[in-house]
Amino acid sequence: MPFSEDDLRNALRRKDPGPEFTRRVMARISQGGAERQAQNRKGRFSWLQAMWLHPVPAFAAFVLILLAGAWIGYQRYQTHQWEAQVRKQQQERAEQRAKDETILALRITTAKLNHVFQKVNNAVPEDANIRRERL
Amino acid sequence: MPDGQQEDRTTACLKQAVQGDATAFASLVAEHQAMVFSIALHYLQDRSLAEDVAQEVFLELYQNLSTIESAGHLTYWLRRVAVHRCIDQGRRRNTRRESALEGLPEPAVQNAPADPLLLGKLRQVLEALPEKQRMMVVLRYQEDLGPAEIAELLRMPVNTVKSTLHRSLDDLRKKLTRKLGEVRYAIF
Repeated sequence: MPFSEDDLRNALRRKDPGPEFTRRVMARISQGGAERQAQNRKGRFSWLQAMWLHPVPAFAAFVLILLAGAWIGYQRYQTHQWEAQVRKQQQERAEQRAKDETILALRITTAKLNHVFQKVNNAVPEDANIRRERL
Repeated sequence: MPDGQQEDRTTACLKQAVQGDATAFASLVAEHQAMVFSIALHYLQDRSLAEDVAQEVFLELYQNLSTIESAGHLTYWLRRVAVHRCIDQGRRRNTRRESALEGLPEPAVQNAPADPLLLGKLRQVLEALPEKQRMMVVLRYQEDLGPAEIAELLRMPVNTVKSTLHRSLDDLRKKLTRKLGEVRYAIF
């Protein structure tokens, strides 16, 4: 069946859904916005309403939360202090150990040097005696 | 109105709509509703479904308005979302009638083109095309898009779009021939 591309364009020409379409879209948008606002208002109101209707439990809950927060904060502070103290002690021990090791090393070096000097001093007269005998 | 002025006006409306101006958003809807609605109508062949899909597309636009950068981007975005919502809706509805047309008799004589009967039948046989082919024909002949633009919207290679469009026209011719043949047999 022969049909041209223009026939197809004519068949598929854009059609406007009418001016009411825009109004319906805008109505759906505002309806969605109003629903969201109502949900938010409802959520806020129920929370405030509960606080207002039951002040003693609300105050008790508030105090409990405050105490729990303070206790957790104090625990954290103590842990931090203890860790700092342990770090300081470890550092002091390491410093003392390094100092002791240095002193020991110096003592050993001194002893070795003394030994070498003694050897050198004793060796010189012997060599002179040997040379004298050969002559 | 010249295209440049129209584009400037759309960009101005877009800026106002992003700032929360409902009237500006309404004029954006009014400007593009024919495009979105017609894509849905020609693809789904159902006026109320097409209106539902078009409304959903504009609601989605309202929620994503801040991501739209320009008038051109707006048109591209609306086409892309409309195309994908239509395909989703078509799959849900699953009303392809291709198989029903397969058994129709071949015509004895060819009809003269470009008459109201032909245009109506063209729209009917379009519905019998597979979903991607149908959408390609709608985008090509309703929106006057080139194969490259269709390929980008449908995320397909350009050559596939070209060959599929060619095959779709052949299919439309065959199906239209059968359809008009059936009418002729019914009359005589």
